[in-house]
Amino acid sequence: MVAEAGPAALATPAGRRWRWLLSLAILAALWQVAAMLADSAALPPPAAVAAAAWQHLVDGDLLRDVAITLARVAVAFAAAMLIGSVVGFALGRSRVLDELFDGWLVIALNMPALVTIVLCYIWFGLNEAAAVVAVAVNKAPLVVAITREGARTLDRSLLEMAQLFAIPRGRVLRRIVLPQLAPSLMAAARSGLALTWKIVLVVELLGRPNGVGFQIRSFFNFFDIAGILAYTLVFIAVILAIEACILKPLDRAAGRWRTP
Amino acid sequence: MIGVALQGIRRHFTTPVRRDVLDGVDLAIGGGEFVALVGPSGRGKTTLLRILAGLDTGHQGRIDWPDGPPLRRAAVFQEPRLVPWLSLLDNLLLVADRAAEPRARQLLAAVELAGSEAAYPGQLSGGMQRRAALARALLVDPDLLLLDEPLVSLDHAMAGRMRALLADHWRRHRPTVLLVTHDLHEAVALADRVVVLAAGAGRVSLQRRIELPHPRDPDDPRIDAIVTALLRFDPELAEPGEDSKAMNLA
Repeated sequence: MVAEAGPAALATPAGRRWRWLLSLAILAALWQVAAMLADSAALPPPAAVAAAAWQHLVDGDLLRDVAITLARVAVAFAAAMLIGSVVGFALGRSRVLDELFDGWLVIALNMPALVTIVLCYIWFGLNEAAAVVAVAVNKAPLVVAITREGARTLDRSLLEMAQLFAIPRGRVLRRIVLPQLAPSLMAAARSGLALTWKIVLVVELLGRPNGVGFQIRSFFNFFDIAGILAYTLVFIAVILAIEACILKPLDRAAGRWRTP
Repeated sequence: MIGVALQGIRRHFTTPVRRDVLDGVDLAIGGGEFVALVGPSGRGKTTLLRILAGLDTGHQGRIDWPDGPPLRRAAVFQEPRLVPWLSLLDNLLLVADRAAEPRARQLLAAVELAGSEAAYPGQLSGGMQRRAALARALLVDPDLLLLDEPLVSLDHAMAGRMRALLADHWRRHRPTVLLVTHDLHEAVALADRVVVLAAGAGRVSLQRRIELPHPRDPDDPRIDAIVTALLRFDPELAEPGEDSKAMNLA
């Protein structure tokens, strides 16, 4: 961005990145010290975890499981975003609907993820559809709640302008409504992505024969801590990469008009 | 051409306390007529304009469109109401279709915004945004044009040029116009008829036909004479300091 200038502003982003890396290095160092002090299989040092990650990578199971889990995350995430934003918009724009369904939303928001997952497996069987539905049902209420707030605060003066000039509905949605909802949708997407993959692991652990969650359960059975940490760290890295490479640029594109 | 007859229009607001803003307004506007609604703020001018715009749902009374309701309404609101994330050109094209682009560029040039087509509203001054809003209203070639203080916050010379543009558009396309303004001189210089809303009563207290031929010279002494006569009828119509305030804003 060219919005900022001056030596202070130029130094900041690079400096921030270094501090971030430094804090990660400190974390790794602390981990190393703790592992040395504990000297137990229950807390392997970073090098052992890295070695385990490399081994699983070479064997091919790590990539396969991450890909399977990512696919579940993607489908559940897309479904929850689509359904959640449509419902949230409707609740935000209609007082009647909001009053009718607000209670439902409160219940849905407070439903423990585990209960939804177990019920979905019981009702729909131990299959892929049940797994994805369980995740989507867990995440959708949050999307509804965030989108509803966004839809409530749409600029009335612009909607009146659109009504007066009789601008076609599709165009109003695309050019006036969606840009105003974009920050809410982005917030829902970012909070939702982290939530989704955490729930996907639980779903896999409880009832799927593959994926990161399933592998963590097998590692648990064999007391393979290095394997658990290796899988977890790789998956966190993948999620952070998605956040940095897809969600952040989207966010920036949506806010471009704000830069003078 | 679109005429409209308002009969017994009433509107009250309940917050914070009950206030009758319009209390039985009767007003007929002929097709292609240019009517100016004047009076200091708080007399329901904007409310009446919003009712004609179809944006107010809480009023009582009859609204008849003898020639059918307007097909193309346009307005310049008190605030510019431009979409902040669209460029000026896209703001104009929002109310028309892509084919209108050459005309949109022409109108932006006519309101002296050539070169700012790609700018976002937030990058422009209030006066420039207001002129863009005027260009947007003229772009749809409306048959009903509603103007709510369209030229405040423009400096004196610029307001004069925009007034001339408006008068010229009206002479050539003959939309039905309702202009809400506190500026008596502007009202008399532009309109076929000046309508005064009474203080406190929420009714029309005076209608005066302006017989001067179009196009009018804003320096015509007869305009000042009519303004003086209107002020004699209702001294509150003079809002001291408004003109200088408008100049300071610009």
